[in-house]
Amino acid sequence: MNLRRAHVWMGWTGVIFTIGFLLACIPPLAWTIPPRLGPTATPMEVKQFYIEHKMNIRAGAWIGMVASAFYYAWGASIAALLRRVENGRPPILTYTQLGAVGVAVFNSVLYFFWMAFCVYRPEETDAELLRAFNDFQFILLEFEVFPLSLWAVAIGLLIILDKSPRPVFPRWTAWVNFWFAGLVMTGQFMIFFHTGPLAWNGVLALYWPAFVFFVWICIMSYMTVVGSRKENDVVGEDVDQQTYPAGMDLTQAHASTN
Amino acid sequence: MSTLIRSAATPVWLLLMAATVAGYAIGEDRPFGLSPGQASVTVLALALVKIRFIVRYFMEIRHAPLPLKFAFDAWIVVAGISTIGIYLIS
Amino acid sequence: MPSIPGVADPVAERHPRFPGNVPGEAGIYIFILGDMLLYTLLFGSFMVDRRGNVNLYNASADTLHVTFGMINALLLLTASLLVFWGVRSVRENLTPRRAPRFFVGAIVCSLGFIGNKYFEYAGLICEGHTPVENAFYTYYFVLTGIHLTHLVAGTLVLIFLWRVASKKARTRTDIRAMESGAAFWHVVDLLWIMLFALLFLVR
Repeated sequence: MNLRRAHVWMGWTGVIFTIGFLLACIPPLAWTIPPRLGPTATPMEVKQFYIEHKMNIRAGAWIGMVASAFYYAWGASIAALLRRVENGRPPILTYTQLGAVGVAVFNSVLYFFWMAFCVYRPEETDAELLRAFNDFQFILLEFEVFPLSLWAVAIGLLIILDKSPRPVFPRWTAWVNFWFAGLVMTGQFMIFFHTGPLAWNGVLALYWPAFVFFVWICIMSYMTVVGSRKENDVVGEDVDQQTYPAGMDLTQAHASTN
Repeated sequence: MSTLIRSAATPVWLLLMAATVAGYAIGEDRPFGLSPGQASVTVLALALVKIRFIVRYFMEIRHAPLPLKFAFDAWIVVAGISTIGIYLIS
Repeated sequence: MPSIPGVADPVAERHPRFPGNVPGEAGIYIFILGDMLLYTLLFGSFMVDRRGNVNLYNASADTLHVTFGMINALLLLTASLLVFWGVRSVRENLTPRRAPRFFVGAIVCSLGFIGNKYFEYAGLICEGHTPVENAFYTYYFVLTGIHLTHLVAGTLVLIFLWRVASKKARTRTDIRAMESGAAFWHVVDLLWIMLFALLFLVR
């Protein structure tokens, strides 16, 4: 076991999160992607659904909650890998990413927690209330896309401004981030509609942002694994682990302590 | 300046402008006894042809490597299916 | 290898197996084609929904101001020509004093489009047609609205192109950036060509 291996494992967390998230949401479990209900479902239909699929939804909520832990590991990995692009300067874009990771993971975690809450005792919950709770679940799933956009813009900027001889990520991945940032934004308008493509079960509010998000995470996860390997391979095993900050020119560090 | 005017894009622009007005006329007035269906398909097909000209001449994809040319042509085909294709089965 | 008139040394990456010149930076085509992918999805979604509501869609489309749509298309086409001239002018160093003015012209066309859009939207809303009225109007406002955000971004790109064209001397990186920006602008144009046909003219 060494740090290189640990870092590469962390790179895989993005894939684990994506798979876990999707698995939690598909029909056999929580049935939210694609959703069994819609904004036009009656309160009784919503209550019926929760009562009939109680165990499935609970299993989905649990799997999703576990998957969400891998989300922050992945986000932190990208921020850490790209931090050296801001060497010598205030790490503004790096910190922006970390802030965004907090918001995004909070959102994902709350989505599954809320799902679990909805299905805790559906038989005794008032149907109208349950429907409102269900609506909130989808607001959690789809409304928060703009914070994700800003996150991707910060990542993209760092990639494109990386002028080192061995860039952390290839330049074209910056465009994937910008593509994601621009195009995932259709989801946020779901609060204005109950029917149509922007309703929470509609193409523009759910499926397209989900697709764009999935592509983004897959590509960036793969790049994080490759990037972790590359960044670790450059550093020898005997690197100095006793001085701060990391990334400092180690020949100077040795000179100052000798 | 004359070199610019003599570039391939200039006559293409004139063609596109004329095609836009023609499309408007076909869609709105439906000359030659065209049915709404025929007019709509014509107008959509015309739009796709215009788009190909824009891609090839204005975006200079004419000189681009094959994969890029292919990607844009593939998009035009997909756009055609998702518009004309679905229209025809409506 | 295909040559571009007047360009002795094309400023672009070359792939050994596929000869040709990529205008601008290769990565921007990920963004552009990905964006166009969203649009094909929107076109398809619109047409599929229309299948179930043909009369409603036709009746609603009749209330649109088609002339505005056509004028907008003509404005964008003209702006595209000006952008093409401007980029060629800068790249081959022709008409150095006039190059920035081409982009100013394009910006004027673009602002004209935005002004037109304002009147068009205002007109529709005053007549009582809002995005939540029926599926057609939802699609109409969403499709043209998304396009409008692209157009506003495109206008910012035009301003960037104007600024680069106004510089005393330009590097290869500048020219590549200009070509990338121009590519985005042309996509804004071609998407409107499709939207005009789809929303305004199809019955």
